[in-house]
Amino acid sequence: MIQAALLLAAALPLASPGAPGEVLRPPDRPVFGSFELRLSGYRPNVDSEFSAGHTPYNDIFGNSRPLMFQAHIGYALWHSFGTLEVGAGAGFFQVTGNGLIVNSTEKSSDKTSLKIIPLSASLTYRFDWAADHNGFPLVPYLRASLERYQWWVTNGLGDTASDGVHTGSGATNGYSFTGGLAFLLDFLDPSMARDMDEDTGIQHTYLFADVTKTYVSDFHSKKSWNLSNDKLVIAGGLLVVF
Amino acid sequence: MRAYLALLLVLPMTALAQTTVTATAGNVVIDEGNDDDNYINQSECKNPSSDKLSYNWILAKDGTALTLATGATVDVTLTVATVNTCPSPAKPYWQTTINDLSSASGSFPTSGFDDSLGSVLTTLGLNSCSGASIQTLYVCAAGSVSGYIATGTINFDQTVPPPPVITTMDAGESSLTVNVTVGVKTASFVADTDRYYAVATRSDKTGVPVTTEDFTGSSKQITGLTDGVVYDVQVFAKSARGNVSSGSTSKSGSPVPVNDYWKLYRSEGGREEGGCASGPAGVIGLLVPVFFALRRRRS
Repeated sequence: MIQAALLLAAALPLASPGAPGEVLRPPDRPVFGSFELRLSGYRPNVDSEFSAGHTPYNDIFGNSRPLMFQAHIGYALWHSFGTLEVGAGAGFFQVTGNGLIVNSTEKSSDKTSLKIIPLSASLTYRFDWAADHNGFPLVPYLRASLERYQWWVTNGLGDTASDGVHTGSGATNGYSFTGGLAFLLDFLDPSMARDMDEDTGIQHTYLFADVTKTYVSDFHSKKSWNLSNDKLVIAGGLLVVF
Repeated sequence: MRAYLALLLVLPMTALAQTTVTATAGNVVIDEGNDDDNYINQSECKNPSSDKLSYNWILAKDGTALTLATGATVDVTLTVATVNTCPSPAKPYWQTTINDLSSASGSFPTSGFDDSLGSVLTTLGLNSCSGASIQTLYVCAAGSVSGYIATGTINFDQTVPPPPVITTMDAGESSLTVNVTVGVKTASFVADTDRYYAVATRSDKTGVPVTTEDFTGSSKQITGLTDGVVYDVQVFAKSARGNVSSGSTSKSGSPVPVNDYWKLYRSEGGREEGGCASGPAGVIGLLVPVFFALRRRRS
């Protein structure tokens, strides 16, 4: 398997479908930063705090894994043997189910939702030296992030829920680690990539896939719920470097 | 070949020969006092004293508006009829004459006249306020200067939609959600509808609506009700012109207490209590590294 991957990696630059003689060139100006759009499945691990038999999240929202949408913008601190970026991200997630009639497991017609705006500040290292200098189209990267999830729960009237004492809204902090691989789309058509660079300032465009492990429970506080994803998150999206 | 060339030469001449000057009248603009939608609906018909028609016209002949020298006079006969026979009215028609518009000063030909809608409808025999078709009413303003007229129309729409059908009614906390479908059209119920209103009445206090709520689409959540109390709900359909159907068959139901996700989480012993654990400073804290990075880059 590893041998096959190495062979593929070695063959990729040779297999460039660009016009003969065209090669990817390193940018002739510094990298300013990047912007990415990503989609991932998300299912908060809220039920993990309960003993067996109590699964309020699952009871209302089921075992689905709705999509979380996120946008991230990065600012290049250093660009030499790869790129180091500091960045910030924001997104949105919503899951909706039916409330349960009190003292029953019967679902009511009332809709109830958990809504989350995930905010993050991150440090990203992207090994794009080989892409810049050798036209190698695969770029690995690592990211460490501080996370803050602004959340609120709505009741059947669409208002923020309350149990009569506590209002169902707040924020939960945490952190996450990401590792991924980006595919340099410029590789498919270097001349078009150069034109786009000249016209728009976008130096490179990537498709990426990565895995993230999140820890969002106010740094393992015993007073906060656990909004960490219940599994390693697989995400994908589009990245542009400008 | 020559025949085609001859035809091509003749065609433009034919076109010129067919060109005629169409006589165009001036126009009457009719404003309704209530909704100004150019339709007299059932409510306006049944309460005509609350509505007025205001006519504003420009008299014209062959597309040229009438102009008068200052001090000249002209009378205008205003007619509303169910057939278009301007300027010679065909019965039945409602008619009035406004004498001597010379006081309209040099800005003639625009002028106006208000009249109660009731007298128009009574004269035209439309005061039963019913019908399964839309009737066009033709308005004609004819000046005493020969050939100068103005025309306009207003629609008389008494068509009503069929009563909707309540398919299901679901109970929620302090609310009932009613689901409806459009009723079946018949000879009496012909108007389309996608607008409804629902009326909820306590079963133990009939005749006193607790709430009336307008809605579009196929369902409506009626809120502000009391858990455990039985309510009767009836839905009415509205046509685009505001005509109201007869009521649907009534359906009864009671709101029930419901656990939304937050209530359920808390009731099962969830430890989160809401609020921002680290306050608004938490967000700012996330942005601090970005700020310092930008500063360092600029310097």
